[in-house]
Amino acid sequence: MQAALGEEALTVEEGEKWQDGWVKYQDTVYAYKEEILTFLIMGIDKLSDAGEVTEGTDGGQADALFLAVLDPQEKRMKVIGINRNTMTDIDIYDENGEYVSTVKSQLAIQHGFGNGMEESCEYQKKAVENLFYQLPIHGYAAVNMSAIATINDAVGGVEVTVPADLDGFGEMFVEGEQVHLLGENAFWFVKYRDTDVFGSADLRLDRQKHYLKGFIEAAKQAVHKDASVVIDLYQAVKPQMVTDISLDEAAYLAPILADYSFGAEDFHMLPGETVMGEKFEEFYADEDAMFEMILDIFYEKVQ
Amino acid sequence: MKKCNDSRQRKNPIGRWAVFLAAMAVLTGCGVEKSDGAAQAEETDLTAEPAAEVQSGGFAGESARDAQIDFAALQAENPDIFAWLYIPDTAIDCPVLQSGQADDFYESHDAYGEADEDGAVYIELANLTNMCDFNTVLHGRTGAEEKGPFADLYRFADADFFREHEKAYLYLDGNVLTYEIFAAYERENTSLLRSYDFTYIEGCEQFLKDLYATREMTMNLREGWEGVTPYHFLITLTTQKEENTDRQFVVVAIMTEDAAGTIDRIVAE
Repeated sequence: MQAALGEEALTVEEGEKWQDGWVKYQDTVYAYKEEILTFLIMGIDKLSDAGEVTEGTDGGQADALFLAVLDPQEKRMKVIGINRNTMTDIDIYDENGEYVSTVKSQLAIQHGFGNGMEESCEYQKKAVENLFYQLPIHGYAAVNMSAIATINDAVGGVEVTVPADLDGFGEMFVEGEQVHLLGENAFWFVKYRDTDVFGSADLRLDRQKHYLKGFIEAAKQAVHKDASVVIDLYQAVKPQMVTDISLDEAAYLAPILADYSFGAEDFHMLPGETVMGEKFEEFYADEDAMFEMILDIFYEKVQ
Repeated sequence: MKKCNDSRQRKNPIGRWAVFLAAMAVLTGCGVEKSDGAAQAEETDLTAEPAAEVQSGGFAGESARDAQIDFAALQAENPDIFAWLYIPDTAIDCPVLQSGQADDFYESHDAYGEADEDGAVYIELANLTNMCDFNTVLHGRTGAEEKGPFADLYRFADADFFREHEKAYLYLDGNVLTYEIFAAYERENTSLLRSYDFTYIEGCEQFLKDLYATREMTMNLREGWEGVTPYHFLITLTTQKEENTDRQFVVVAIMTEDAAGTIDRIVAE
């Protein structure tokens, strides 16, 4: 459990009485860090530009789901990787966009029930907020997988260590090898998933985790060298992206983020386990471990 | 077979006929045990209820702190008063009303029926005043300056206060019901009575399923009450903060004692 933040920490005496949003867990009281900003990053299973589709199930699945957590107090970024198959409440809508019911299903499918644009993102954001116990998400960016090569190359390519062999790619992706990803190679590294292999979503998420670490390092260096790279990148990706973060906001945030620390220990995975469902894999979050992870990342102790 | 003894005529019977037409499961007796069986409801000794902090100045000078409610006097003030709610160690010691004019009349009127932005504690027409429904929803405002009749409900957000305060009492004319508060949490600010059909077992089950599946960091749930069923009798006390009308705070309690033995109902499958 994370230590309280010394002089900034609240005390029960100072608070005088129970404050809204306090959480008591195992005899310790925690307060949400109000200054934290949380963004949902979605990789959408689409190879074309972002465009409106019929509501129902055509909005594309959110194959990659990450929360980027910015803590201005610690000047530190943390990332939480969320398994696409996490079983949670999914709102079902019909082709007219009318709400039908809520069922337990894989988290990634929620995006598909919208129009493929803002509506899909809002649905997905709500599902993730609910999974994370109504955690506030301040912004989102849904990027079609087809944009990976563009994003990758805009920061000069990404260095990764291949976590496990990728069958079918010859000598290109061999476990333990250091690879400088460029263009389509980045796309396949992030996107490839052999659905015949049990736990393939976990394997891919592990590669995405390695990729994201490498990307953040590359992006920080690129921004330090020339802050305008953010504007160029935003413009280049815009046709393949749906976001509620404006160019101005992105341009403002990027140089600040370039100074945030982000180490190996800052990458968290939603804890849980994959089991085989009737047709598809299902990932069940370890609720206790998840609750503790949320307290660790988003809360501070009240002394 | 014992039917619910509705001493006050139901004002809105729509949908209720199904109760009598469907295959029935009959309830007998209202005392319940916690699922772990460890804490059977205590016998309610009304006269022993703490009177240390007796305060006057409540509605019509009345208070349940002395375990006495004069319904004749209350109904002389306002015939819409049908119950009195008392939660020890809170300021909640007030009449409960139901208006025949409009569901939300007491949202903006005090218990005398006078215009008052803090309102009074009330139930809607879809609930019975004899407290025989599966879930009787009691509304009360927190108020802009947190002076509304349910402002103190938020004390149950405090994990320690919640743990130490289990009881709520509802006085009826000729009866007193004891409830154990087992859940306190925030939910979407939607009408419970319109979201769930509590006249059918399915609606009751769905409410309970959703309650237990609630994903709120701040939810307080009392251990031992994981096994509440549609055959129990609940009250849900609900309020909202003026600055956050998207969410409502609810305190849910289960009846553990029915002093006069009048609480019963037929549950529609």
